[in-house]
Amino acid sequence: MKRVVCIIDDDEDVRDVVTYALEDDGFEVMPFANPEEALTELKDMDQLPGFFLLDYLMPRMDGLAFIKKIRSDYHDTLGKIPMALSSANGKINDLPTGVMELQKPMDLDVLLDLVRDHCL
Amino acid sequence: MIYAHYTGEKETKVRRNLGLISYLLSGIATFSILYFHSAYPELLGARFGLLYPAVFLIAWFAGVGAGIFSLGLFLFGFGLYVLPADPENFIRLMTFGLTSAFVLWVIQTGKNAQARLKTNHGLFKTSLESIGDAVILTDRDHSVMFMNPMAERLTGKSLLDVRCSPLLSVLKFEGESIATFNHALTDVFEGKRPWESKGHCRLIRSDGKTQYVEISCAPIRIEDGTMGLVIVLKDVGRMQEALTSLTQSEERLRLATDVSELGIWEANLLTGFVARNLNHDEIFGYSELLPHWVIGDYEARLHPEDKESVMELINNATRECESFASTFRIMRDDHTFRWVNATGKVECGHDGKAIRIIGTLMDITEKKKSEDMLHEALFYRDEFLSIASHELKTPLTSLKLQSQMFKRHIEKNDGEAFSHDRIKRFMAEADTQVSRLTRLVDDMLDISRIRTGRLSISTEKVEISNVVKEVVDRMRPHFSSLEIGDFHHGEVVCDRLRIEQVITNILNNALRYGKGRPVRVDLRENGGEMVISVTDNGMGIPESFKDKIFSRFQRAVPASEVSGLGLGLYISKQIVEAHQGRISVDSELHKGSCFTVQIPKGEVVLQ
Repeated sequence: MKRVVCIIDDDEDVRDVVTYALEDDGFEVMPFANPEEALTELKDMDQLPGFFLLDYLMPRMDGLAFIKKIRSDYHDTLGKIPMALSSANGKINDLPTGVMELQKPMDLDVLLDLVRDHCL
Repeated sequence: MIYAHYTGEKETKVRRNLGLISYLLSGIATFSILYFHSAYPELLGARFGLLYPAVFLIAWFAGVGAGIFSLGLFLFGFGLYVLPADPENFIRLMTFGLTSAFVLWVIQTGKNAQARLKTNHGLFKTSLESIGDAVILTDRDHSVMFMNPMAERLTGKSLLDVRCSPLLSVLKFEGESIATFNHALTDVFEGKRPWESKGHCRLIRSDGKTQYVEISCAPIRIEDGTMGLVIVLKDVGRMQEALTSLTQSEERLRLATDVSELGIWEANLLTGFVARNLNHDEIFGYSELLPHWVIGDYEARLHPEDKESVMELINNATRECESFASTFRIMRDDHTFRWVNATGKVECGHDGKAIRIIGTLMDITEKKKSEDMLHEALFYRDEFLSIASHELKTPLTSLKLQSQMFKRHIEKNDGEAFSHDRIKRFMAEADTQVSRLTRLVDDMLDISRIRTGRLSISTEKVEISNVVKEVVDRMRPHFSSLEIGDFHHGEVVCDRLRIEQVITNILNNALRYGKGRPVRVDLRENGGEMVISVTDNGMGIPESFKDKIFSRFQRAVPASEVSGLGLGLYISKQIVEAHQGRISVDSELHKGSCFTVQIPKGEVVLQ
């Protein structure tokens, strides 16, 4: 059974290319344009993704807010899934514990290694 | 000294009493003699007449006045003694005696007066010589009769040399002082009233140097009974120097405070009153000095948020007798606030208690405003850099991942990955990302060009309806609904590409903020202008942002909500204004916005 990666990024182009790269590497990808949409879909789902790849800066709810939300509201389910934040503005200062960091523009190998190593 | 003074006084008393006694004795003696002589002429005649010399001697020693009177009586008595007793002789002798007494009294009085005059003259001379002011006496012809040493020093001339010289050859003045003094002399002499110089006159000394003096002049009756003048000169050179220096210092201070608009205040902690200069009151919004100001007036005029900290600072400084300096806000009567920089120095008495505070007050509102503007500009610059970095890195992420995957497939020699469709998709994707990057870089370059005044506009005659149609057609696929409403035709002299850029920017905004609802574009001819308007039904713009959206790095929503550099409208405004046109917005929050661009038809003078 394929491992599932959930991508949340407001930029369609980035979302598409990351999806393509991960699918090419044998992962199943669930792409979402924003955290609200992802939450609505995921909260009642039986099969949860094995990894979250979140954009740091997004409209309305950013990556950090999403992490806070699932860690408080769904700490036994979604909150336990490993996750990485990708940022285009250098190092993230307020990175929550247990969350990995990816710098945009990211290297394909770095992205794949990270997901391969951590995806449940 | 006290004893000497006491004895002296006692002696005078005794002499005065003796005088009185001698008068009394002479009187009694005279009347007794007269009485007995007339009653018993043969009996008294010779013997009693001899009493006179005795009475006379007593009286002479006792007092001069009484002595003279007694001398008169003596002559009268002596006459009675030698002449036959006869009423006629008696009257003659009495007349003679009284006359002699009177003549002698007159002579003696004259002598006394002369003695007194001599004493007074000595006193007068000593006074004149020792007095600090210069005194000159003239006769009726204005010739110098006397000059005291101070006058000699002041004029630089000696009395011996100038005695009998005309006054005006001794006292020479400079400038206007000459006329004033001449006029005054005549006035004093003819009007017989004293005169005083109002200001300071400049006296020329014999060595050519000038000297500031104050003159007073009065008529005086001199020894021969004619009128002369007494002229008193007061040396005010040092006073004048000090005064000039003080005036100069004051003037300099006033200039300095005026130029620097520095408010100066001095609070008397004992009376509570505060002395200020005009600048001080002007800072508080008054055009002229208020009649009075008390310490409590400050507290009432402090910004509520600053009141506590300022009062604490001043109270501490007052308690510790220290200086203080602070920046805070004051409130004017019209409830506007000004930022001020205040300093103060507390002065304490011997008991260590504060007596007064002297300080300055400076209005720094404008400086503060520009500081705030600078901070704001820096904030927007930083935010812009952050947005720019995000916006540039997003297409780069996409490009980088794609190219690396392509490389991977090549390395794996994965033929399937190089199907025609895949390559086409990859190239289209890459092209999109490159266009995105180009647009971002162009925007940034435009900003730099606008800032340095190098935004280039190359004009040609353009049918504006064609431009609008082209842009709308190109952008239509991105919209759920993008329609053209009114569609007039009109030729405009403009930079076609720049106008395209403006319409694209506005449509991009409609796309971003339009919530996917229908957008309409209208093109109308209105007067000598072509008016393009883009109406969306999106989120609208809050009233407070309407002015800001055309500024650099400004947007109506936080940067995280939408993508883009936030430069589009700023660049558009600059382009439209370079065409002598106008760009404006009409908007209602949550209902939508309508952006209007007006461009004049015909030849425009490009700015």
